[in-house]
Amino acid sequence: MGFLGERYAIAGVGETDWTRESGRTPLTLAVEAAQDALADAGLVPQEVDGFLSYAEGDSADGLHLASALGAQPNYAAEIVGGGSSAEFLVATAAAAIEAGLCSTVLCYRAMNGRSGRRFGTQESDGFSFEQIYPFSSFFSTQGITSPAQHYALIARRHMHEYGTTTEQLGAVALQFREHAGRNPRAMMHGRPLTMTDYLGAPPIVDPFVLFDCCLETDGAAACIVTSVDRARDLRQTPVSVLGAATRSGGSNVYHYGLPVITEAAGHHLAPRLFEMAGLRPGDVDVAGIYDCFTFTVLIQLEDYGFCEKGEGGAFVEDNRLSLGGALPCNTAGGQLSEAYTHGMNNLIEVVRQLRGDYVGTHRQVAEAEVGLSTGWGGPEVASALLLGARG
Amino acid sequence: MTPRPLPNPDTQPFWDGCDRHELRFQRCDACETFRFYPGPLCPSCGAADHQWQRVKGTGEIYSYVVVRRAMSSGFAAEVPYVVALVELDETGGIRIPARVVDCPVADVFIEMAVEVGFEAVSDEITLPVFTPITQD
Repeated sequence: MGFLGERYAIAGVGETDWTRESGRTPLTLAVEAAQDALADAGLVPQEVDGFLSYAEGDSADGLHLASALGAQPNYAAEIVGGGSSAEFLVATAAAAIEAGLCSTVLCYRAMNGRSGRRFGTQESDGFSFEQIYPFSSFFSTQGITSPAQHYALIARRHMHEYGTTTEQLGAVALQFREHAGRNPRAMMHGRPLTMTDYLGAPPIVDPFVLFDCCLETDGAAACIVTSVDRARDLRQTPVSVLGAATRSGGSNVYHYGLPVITEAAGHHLAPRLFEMAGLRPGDVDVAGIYDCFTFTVLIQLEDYGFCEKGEGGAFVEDNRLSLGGALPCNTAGGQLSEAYTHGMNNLIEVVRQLRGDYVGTHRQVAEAEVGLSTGWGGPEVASALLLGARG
Repeated sequence: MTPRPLPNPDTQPFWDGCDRHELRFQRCDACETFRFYPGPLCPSCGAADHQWQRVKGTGEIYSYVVVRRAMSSGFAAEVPYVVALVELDETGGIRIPARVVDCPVADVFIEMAVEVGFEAVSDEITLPVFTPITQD
């Protein structure tokens, strides 16, 4: 058992409803998700003394959320990790508690991702990627303005090197849509998807079609991190953090200059992650793999060691990611079919599977004892957690 | 209008080069490594001294995308358009993102030989673009 294993746990999770137009501010969404997670854990806001969040100029920070909830925390911080941030937050919360800065941390992401500022557009509110990414001028002037356009560059190269096919990308989209069909709260619940639908979908940026791209969602999701000892006294079954690892390797443009661009950040952090937990990829019973695009799932399956480099396409065939498959993945529908919260919804679904929240329904992964949650903040930026059912 | 670059002291020589129809990159004085994007130190050896060296601008497509739906309204009239990562000759393999023009979208492929051209998008700004090298 690794360093973190006996010490820290996720004590509660929560979220808002998922909509395309919330009619609420990010602050109000954050309050609702926080209240849901606090109720899950059996805590009141004044018992939370740390707030961690992430944003791209589109949210409400921890100071404002704390004030709105009537809490006066000792510690609040914002993480810059894009889509890898959910796991970064949990890892950072454990580190902050270990350092004695605080004892109970609310981690959250709140955004009006559809009705507010949409990723990939640069028009709203005079926003320019140059404000966040100093070298975006080299891309935006050439017509690369969205994450889809960036990651399609890597997907195309992956297809060239390994023969990865469009149908293999489609298999990921279909699988997560099937999971959304089991989740009444998913935005794509009740909207089954066939391979014919997938192949006939509007192209966005070759090789990606509409269903390769995640949803855009208004909403918020949250989880609460505290010590295992404290979590055992709370309302919910604790889910312990068995391992955590992060990688902030560089910018997209740095990645594109590397000799190999089809190995991403997970490739570098996975050995540290599994070593910390004393586990191997084969020990993982349920996974939440960051699915801003179908392709990011496929490449991460390789990077985290579930198959060899180049074999991600073959891995996702034969229903391996289904609830009864070798690696049940994104079982609430993922960001492709449940909701896009920049990763936090995938993380809290893994927690629920490990707690056995769905026992007795067609959503529960049988004997789920070890969970993996990964984040993708770009090809060089990632974080991941290994989580354990026993607290 | 399409997005315009926001040149800064690190990147200004690149854009000035484009204005003169020259493709120029920083090259380390100490270890002679080219670098992209522009920056104050050589990522290979850490030395600061460098020249902005002009290159011929030939290379091959390392990867590419075909944008079918513009996410920035300025590009709406341009779709479908191709943006490639072009691996440049004479540079030790640096790769830059750029449009591929004067070529049917369906004809673009990885390893296609291309050469640089320049396209003025305003009085102040000229962009590098690439065209296929035709076989004579």
